[in-house]
Amino acid sequence: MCQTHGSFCMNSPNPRQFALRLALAGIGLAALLVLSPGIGTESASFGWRDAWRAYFELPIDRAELAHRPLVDWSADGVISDEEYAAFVRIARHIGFSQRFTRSLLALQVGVTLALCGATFQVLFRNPLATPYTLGIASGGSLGALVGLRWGWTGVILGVSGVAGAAFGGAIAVVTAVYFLARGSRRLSSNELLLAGVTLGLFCSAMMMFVTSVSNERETFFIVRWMMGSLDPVRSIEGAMLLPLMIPAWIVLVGSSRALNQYRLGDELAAARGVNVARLQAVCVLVCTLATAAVVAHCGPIGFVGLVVPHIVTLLFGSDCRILLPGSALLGGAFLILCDWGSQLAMRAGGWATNQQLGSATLPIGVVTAIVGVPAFLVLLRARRT
Amino acid sequence: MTARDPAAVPPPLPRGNKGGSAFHATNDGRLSDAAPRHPRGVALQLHDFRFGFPRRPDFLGPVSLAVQPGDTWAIIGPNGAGKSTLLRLMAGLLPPKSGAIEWSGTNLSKLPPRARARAIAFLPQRSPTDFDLTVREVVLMGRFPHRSLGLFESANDHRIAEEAMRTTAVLLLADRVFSTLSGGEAQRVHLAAALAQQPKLLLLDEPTASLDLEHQLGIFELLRRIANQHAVAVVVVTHDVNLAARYCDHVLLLDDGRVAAVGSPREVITPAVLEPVYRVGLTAVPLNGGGDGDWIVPCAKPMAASA
Repeated sequence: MCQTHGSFCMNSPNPRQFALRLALAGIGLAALLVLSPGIGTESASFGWRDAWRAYFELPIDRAELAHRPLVDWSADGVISDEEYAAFVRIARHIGFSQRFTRSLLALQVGVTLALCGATFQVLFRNPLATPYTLGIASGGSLGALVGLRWGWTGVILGVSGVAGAAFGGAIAVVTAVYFLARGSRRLSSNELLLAGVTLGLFCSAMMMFVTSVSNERETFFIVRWMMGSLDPVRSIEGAMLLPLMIPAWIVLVGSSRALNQYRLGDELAAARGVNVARLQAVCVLVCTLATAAVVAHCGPIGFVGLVVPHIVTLLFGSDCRILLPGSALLGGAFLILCDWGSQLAMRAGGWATNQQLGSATLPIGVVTAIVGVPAFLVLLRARRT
Repeated sequence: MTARDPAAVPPPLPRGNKGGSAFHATNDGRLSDAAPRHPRGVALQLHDFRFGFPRRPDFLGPVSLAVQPGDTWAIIGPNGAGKSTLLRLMAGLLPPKSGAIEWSGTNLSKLPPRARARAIAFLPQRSPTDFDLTVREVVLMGRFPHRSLGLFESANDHRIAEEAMRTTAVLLLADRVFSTLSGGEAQRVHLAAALAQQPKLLLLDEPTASLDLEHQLGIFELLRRIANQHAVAVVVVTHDVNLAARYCDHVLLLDDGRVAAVGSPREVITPAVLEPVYRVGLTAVPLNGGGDGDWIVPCAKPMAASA
């Protein structure tokens, strides 16, 4: 039946099977979110059940709590009302204001980056294309750097000056790329890529310039920011991404049939009734805005967008109707798991070296690479043979 | 509804290509906004129409032509004569510079892309072959202009795709992966996808290039049958004047963007007409004692070696 893929292959997807798998994956993602309040850096002694009970103000077994560290402050073997209230307050605060929000952000970022990566690989007919290839990340990073360097720390309408500057930088670069490539002829993919890569290099040079005129403290911030991180998230900001992202997700997945036609070539797609120029423009615009928002909040987290779509293609084939939602779901789950990994790794490292590292995190980019690269290479190898 | 002034001059094109809004722009009483019905008379009509590129403003035309349902046309001519460009214009992929192309009375450039694609199928010269999709999926993709909502095809779409695969004899390959097919099989699959589009006009750019002799004949046989049985008009760009002569009702000979000759194969595909256009010496070899017409064979060196 299916010669190029393994047994996972979904040839001739029938809608019911597709919906079933989508629902299963959705349930998996939801399960990750349900678990998320119980997993994180701080060695707070509550699990996801306690957190949810605390959240819904359900009673928690006091006798069991007495055996936990850091709950029975008075060390008298009995949980007093104050100690119980403190436990509930901590569980609610850390579990939901921090861990759950953080995982929710990881989900949004992962979905967005993987979806945009898959779209760009189809759109540019290039397996190396990601939203970052067009200079979005470099532009955003340069903007954020300028913001950091000159201390635009004020918050306007819930958006920090740094995030705003990053967003502005990303949009500026893509606008320049778009008009550069458009002025020549039609929206030719190679010209767009070349212009993007070149402007990205320019932005990198400018970032070096800004770093070189910064002092040590600023340089530290800049380097940390460039690593990409889900750290600076508070509940409001995490939720603020969603209204930007959901329309983007809908537009991109909704374009998947047109993108399938687009893979046949511009001419055949146009002859089938696809408005090719509009499809390109809409997809580039939507991906740019969504990625710029991600870069503004979390810095450049590039790896997900490149590799997750390839993993989905290797497992399930390249039909865009499966590739796009599949990449979205896998990207979201992948980034949540990597974020947990980045927190637990430092916890484990602290325990192993007997140091207080419990509240630190590895940069998320380190974990995505450590987990993702071997997985990807194994799959690539398995497909060849 | 206010009827606009039905002036003799065609109304100016709406600025920009705004997709959906252009749909209503055609709605001026004279033009039908619905998808074209099966026309009894003329399907595609070219009125004294011209086309040019920025550097070559008078590259093509004037061409006047009427393609009728069930007709098979061959467009022949030397390389660079404008055959493929003319075919793209007929497919509505390029806007004419002056004059008009009408699809059953509607200006082609004013039809919304999907409505146009339900009427006209176009098969470019080179289509990608490195898909990991199955043959069935590739053919089902031809149903795109007929479905605006929903990610997946209906049972009816599957039935039509199966019928198209049966017509082009690729039904047995339905579950094969497209990239594993031979050139001839791949071409028949592309043709099936074009048929799944259920067009009234089928445009093909050198469908037999890079096919062996058997498959060349097979494709032309197939086109002939499609035209006869489904009342589909077929226009083929080809370099094979003999296949064109054998399988097509009408021939359009292009030379450097101008119509050098138009007519039946017996009128056009003769050494006297073709020699000055192709700039080679040609000989007509009678087939079966002249009963099946002549076979055109090149028999001398090119007259202009520089070309």
